[in-house]
Amino acid sequence: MDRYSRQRSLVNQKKVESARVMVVGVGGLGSASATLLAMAGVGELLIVDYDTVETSNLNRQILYREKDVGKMKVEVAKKRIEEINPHLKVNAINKKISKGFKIPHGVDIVVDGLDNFEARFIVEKASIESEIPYVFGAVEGYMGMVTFIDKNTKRLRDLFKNVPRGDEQVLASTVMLTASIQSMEVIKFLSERGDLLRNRLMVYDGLSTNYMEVRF
Amino acid sequence: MKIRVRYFGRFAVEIGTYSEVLDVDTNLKVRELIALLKRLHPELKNEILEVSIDGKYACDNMVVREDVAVYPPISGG
Repeated sequence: MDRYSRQRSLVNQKKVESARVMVVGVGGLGSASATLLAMAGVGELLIVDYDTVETSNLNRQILYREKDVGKMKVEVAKKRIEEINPHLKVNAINKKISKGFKIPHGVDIVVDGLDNFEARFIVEKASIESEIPYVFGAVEGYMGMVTFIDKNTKRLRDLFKNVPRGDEQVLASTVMLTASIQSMEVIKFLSERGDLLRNRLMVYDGLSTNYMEVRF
Repeated sequence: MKIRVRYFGRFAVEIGTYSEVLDVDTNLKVRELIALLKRLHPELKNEILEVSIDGKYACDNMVVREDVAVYPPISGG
């Protein structure tokens, strides 16, 4: 039995292990997605963030500990991800998402771990220009959303009339659930399996335990 | 026409219910429904309401049908 023996019939492990996945933002969503993708055996993770770990991150950002407060997130995240799976390559990019952001050559898919739409629009644009899919995710309170965007789907501007900054309250449970769905989309895409969330926004509300799909 | 409106996320918290049944005019447009909801629930006055009807994203000029969901755009990560 090897490390991936319990998932081999579920995924195209060879493709997963040769994939380069970029996680933009390693806060709540990004920490969880990076963890799940590392466990699944993604070949290379490129993690992007410019922030340092704060005490208020620790209720939901699974890669960080109290002793990490004040340290660069990408450096701590790289170390933890390599502990989770030492067989993958982790490329830590200490950078703020700003206009002109480009997706490095060879990346297969981009995962959203961002906390604002200004940066999301930049990453979405860069992804579309590079013909690389982008898995949007967002959270607030008990509520999460996910969709899969590529050059043939609707874009973020089509999904929302306006995008104000929302409430900053959020639970780890919401983050984990949302990032689980995002990382599952990545695995499905890499494995060429299943029905991706193209032109469909998945919305989950944990308080009412209601799920819905909004088609576009 | 009776419609069922489901509220998601902070909207449900703000108005204190996850869903309600409303009696509205046939051919009511989405923009009119949004105005009605904001009158019924002043807590939503300054909110941006995204609407889906029968599971499809609803633009402002679409006609309202029985199954309505209202949710906020969210941005956290």
